[in-house]
Amino acid sequence: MAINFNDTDSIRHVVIDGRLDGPGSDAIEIKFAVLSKLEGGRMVVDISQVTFLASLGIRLLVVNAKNLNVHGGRMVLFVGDNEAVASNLEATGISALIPMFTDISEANQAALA
Amino acid sequence: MLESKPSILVVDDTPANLTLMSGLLQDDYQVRAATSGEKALKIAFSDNPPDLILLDIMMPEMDGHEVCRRLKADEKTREIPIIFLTAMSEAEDEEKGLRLGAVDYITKPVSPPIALARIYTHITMHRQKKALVLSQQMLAAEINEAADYILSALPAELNGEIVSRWKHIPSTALGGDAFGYHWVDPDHLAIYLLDVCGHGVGSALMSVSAINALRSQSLKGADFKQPSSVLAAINNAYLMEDHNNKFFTMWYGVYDRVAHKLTYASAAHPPAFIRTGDSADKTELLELTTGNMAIGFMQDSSFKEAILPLKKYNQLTVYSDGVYEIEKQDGEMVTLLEYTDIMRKLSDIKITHVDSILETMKALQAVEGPFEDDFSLLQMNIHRA
Repeated sequence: MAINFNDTDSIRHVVIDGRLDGPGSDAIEIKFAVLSKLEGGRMVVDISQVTFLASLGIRLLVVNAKNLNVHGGRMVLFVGDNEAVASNLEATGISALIPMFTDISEANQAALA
Repeated sequence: MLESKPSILVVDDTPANLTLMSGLLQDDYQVRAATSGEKALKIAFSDNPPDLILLDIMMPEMDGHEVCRRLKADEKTREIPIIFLTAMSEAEDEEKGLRLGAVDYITKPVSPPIALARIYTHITMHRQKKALVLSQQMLAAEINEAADYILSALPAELNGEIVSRWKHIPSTALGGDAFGYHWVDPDHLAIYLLDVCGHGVGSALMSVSAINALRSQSLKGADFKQPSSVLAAINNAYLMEDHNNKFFTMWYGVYDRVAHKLTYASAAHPPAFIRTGDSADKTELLELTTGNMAIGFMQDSSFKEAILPLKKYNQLTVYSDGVYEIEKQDGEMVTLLEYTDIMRKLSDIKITHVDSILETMKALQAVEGPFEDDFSLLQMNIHRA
């Protein structure tokens, strides 16, 4: 499980890699929460390399997206061509809370909108 | 400081050594003495065993090693710490004694401060270990009681006009799945299954709370014959911000026996399956989902529902994602599509298949043992004569 980030063009890009299940969520929980503490910040979370997304991983995304919203920010998800993760997220109805994109430039635009 | 005087059994065939050790220990410990291996075993196996045994190795008839071996072989005495007393010339026996399960060695002639320090250390460790084991046993008993309570909240199997069978295997002692069914009135049977994110005590508490709210029909504003109304009410009652950021997925259906139809709604839950047909030999498998948001994500969400007119033969299967999210031998997870294929092959609608589905999923697992997620599977045959 890995989590990395870089800040460019007013957007924080966070890349999560590996199995986002219970142990995976525990492993990145604190770092992800710290990275999501952006007053009015815009954030693209790249989960295109996530190999498995369990309910606790979804919880991690939702909690931090809501926290970011409360502080005037916005989180969007970039899933790329990861159909398994995309369909899993679609089934939860998460897109009403966190917009989801297969194209990175669209994700960036949505984050800045 | 030790809470009460621990008891020490000193075993030595030389009375002078017993006197020496008793004198050394009597201020801090209750000291008992045995002059042979047989007598030592009798005391150790009594109803009042010692907290520690100081055991001489060289004794006639039964030596210290044999006494140690017998004590370690018996569950009742194997946890009593044993310290061997040995002369310097017997130091080569140290390895053998430790291999037999002794915790330490004290060499003769005994140095009182060193002997007392070692004995104190081992007595303290032994008492701490006993307290830890007791605490774990109490905790396990409480968790088992909680698990029994959750099981008691699950429904009795139905036999007759409607037949139900289910399997519920939590991935840990307490899981986050729960399900049930009950008659809302003589003509409407509510059927539901929910899956709280995660496992363990927190998830189990939430799942049992939610299932009890459904079972007792105590959700404010809910019409329990209308699935969309139930999901909307339970969503507002279990908002994740108010429940330790936990959410759950859910499937809820209502069978109307007069109209012979099924009304259902799902909230981010995998689709239920229904095998249905007017002839037992000619049926089709349908997926029942309405694609709503998970329960607790957002206040005042609205939920869609759908209606399915039933045919003569109907077999409903509701399940949690733990039934199919299993890692296979190739390292890949079983997909919903693969699970659907498994369900498609189970075409005998006159029987239920919960046992064979469980066995199929177990066989697909990469490693034997418990499933990674809670396994909840409910199957219901609703056939018309």
